[in-house]
Amino acid sequence: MKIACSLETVELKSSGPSKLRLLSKGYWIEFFQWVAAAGFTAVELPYNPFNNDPLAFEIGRCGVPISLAAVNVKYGSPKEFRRKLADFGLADVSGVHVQAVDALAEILATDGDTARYFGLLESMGREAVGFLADLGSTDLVVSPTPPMGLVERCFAGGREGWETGFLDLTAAVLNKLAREAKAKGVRISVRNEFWSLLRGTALDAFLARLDKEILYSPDLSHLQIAGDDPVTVLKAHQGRLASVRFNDTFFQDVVGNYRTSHPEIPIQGAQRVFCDLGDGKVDLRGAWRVLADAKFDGWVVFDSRMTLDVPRALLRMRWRIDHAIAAKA
Amino acid sequence: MGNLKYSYMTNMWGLMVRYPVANQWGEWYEGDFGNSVYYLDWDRILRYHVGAGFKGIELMFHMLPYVNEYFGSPKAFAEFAKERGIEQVTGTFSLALGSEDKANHPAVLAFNQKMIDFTAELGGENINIMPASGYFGHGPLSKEQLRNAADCFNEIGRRALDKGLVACIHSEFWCAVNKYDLERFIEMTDPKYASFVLDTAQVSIMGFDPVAMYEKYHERIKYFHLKDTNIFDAPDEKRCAAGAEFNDEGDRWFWELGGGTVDFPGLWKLLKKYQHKGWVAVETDGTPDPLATLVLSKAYIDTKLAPIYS
Repeated sequence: MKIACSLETVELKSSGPSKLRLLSKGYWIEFFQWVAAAGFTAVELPYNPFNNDPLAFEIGRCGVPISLAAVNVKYGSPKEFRRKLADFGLADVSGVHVQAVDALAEILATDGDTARYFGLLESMGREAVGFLADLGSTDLVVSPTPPMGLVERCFAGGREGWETGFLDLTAAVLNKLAREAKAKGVRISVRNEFWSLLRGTALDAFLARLDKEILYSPDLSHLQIAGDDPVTVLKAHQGRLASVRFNDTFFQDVVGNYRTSHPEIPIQGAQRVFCDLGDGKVDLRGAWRVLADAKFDGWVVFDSRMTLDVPRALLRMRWRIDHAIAAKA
Repeated sequence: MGNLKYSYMTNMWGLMVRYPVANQWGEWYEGDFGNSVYYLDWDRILRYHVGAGFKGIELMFHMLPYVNEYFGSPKAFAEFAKERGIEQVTGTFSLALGSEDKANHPAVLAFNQKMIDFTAELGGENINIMPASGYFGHGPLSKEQLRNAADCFNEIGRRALDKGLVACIHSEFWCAVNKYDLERFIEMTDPKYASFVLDTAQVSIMGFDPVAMYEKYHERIKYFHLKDTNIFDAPDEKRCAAGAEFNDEGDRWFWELGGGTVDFPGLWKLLKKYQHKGWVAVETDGTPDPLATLVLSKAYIDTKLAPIYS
């Protein structure tokens, strides 16, 4: 197994002291040093190429390495960015993560024409594939649908069975991208979310409709929140895993928050969806054992989304990986 | 009742405030034992403003989708704020990115129409607008491009006036309308539709003395963004660099009132001279501690400026 740290450990879209410093290049330079100091030698990058969604615009004009344009402007080029990471001790980029919801957010911020959605999804994926190839990395991880509440609002139109058509088109885009990506040495995998149209077993059926080259990159917290046992899911998909995201949660979705259009920002009841790795209830050690027993040689990506203290979360992750998750029984 | 009422632009708290109300203290505090829980929701943040004596707030353009999603409507957000002691959401900040190119005008106008409607439904008075793209990648603008941007602004201002709002040109030190053509741009716009918001730090960084600017343009200046800075007339290469407002090293451009070198007492003497009345706003984005900056700014107003004019 190869270990990486996700940059999504840094929560950009939140408020607090010094939050705007997260938008400066200086923050990220220091963050990469913290990541290396916590014993990681690889990172997974989030990717969002859009500018019209207001938040994407703010992120895109600053030092967050979240798109080709941002990397070119602030770090020179993907290759130079990769060299800088290596200088900090981060020799590898495990992959890039794109989210379909960003394509929909772009549309909602502009003309609202949802007919453009699948085209934007495809162009976003294509740009990310090119970015990965320039970085010299290989894994594009796709969160394949926006939150089901938002998709329903934008695409259902009062029709029964609209989901089938939506997922058919999603699969077609992914299959097309996978064929293009293969030519550039990039492979594609899909990630599960508790709020996705592919929540729970729907993802299994969806995987069956995708080309065999498209793999699965499960997110353990999302599985747990959706009510699936992460260990069982890993065992079931052992032969098709690209990477596995290890993170944690104690969130219980007792109010059906997954059906809303903003599932990661609940209004009712409990609101902390993710927590620092090891603070929650995900059977991280059990998941690790499954992968170890299977001699999984792909990436295990750690994160502590929604942490309130990034440096402490990095140190907690390292200690818990060494002493609790990956420690021999 | 005084002549001046104080509002605060809410962009210093972060890219977005995640929750309308943080429901359970413990889920954030236990295991963390820090102060982050105090900064996560609008409920607390609005009450900080009221506690410090700011009875108005302004919202960024980010907030349009957020307000509709989490509060249901602009009116519901304004009510939520009112319940916590905020008398008025006084205005918003918008953008006219790309207005220097006529081909972009339909999209720029559509975006700003949404912002105008949003601002009106919030019960606001002002809409402050960055008038063109950022300088990096777009500047300097030709005379024709400047004309295009001015025409677009006039139309936005006309539409704002239809809703009873004042549209104000908001200068940014990193905007394509920059130090060499800001005054020409002001002159190219129609005073009936385009007022000016004097952002004291932004104009200082460009090399304008904000006091002299108010003296010269007081009839056009209908609103203020009060922020301090210790940087006057920053060099072009620093001001016009990519993403210049987010300094690569994280250094601050903007400070709480009294934290820099802007001559606020001089400005206040002119406010008195011209008998300015109504809302004035403080905007201090980039501070590492919004709560400290909020309180320090109000203390400065109360002890240094109010004795001159209030």
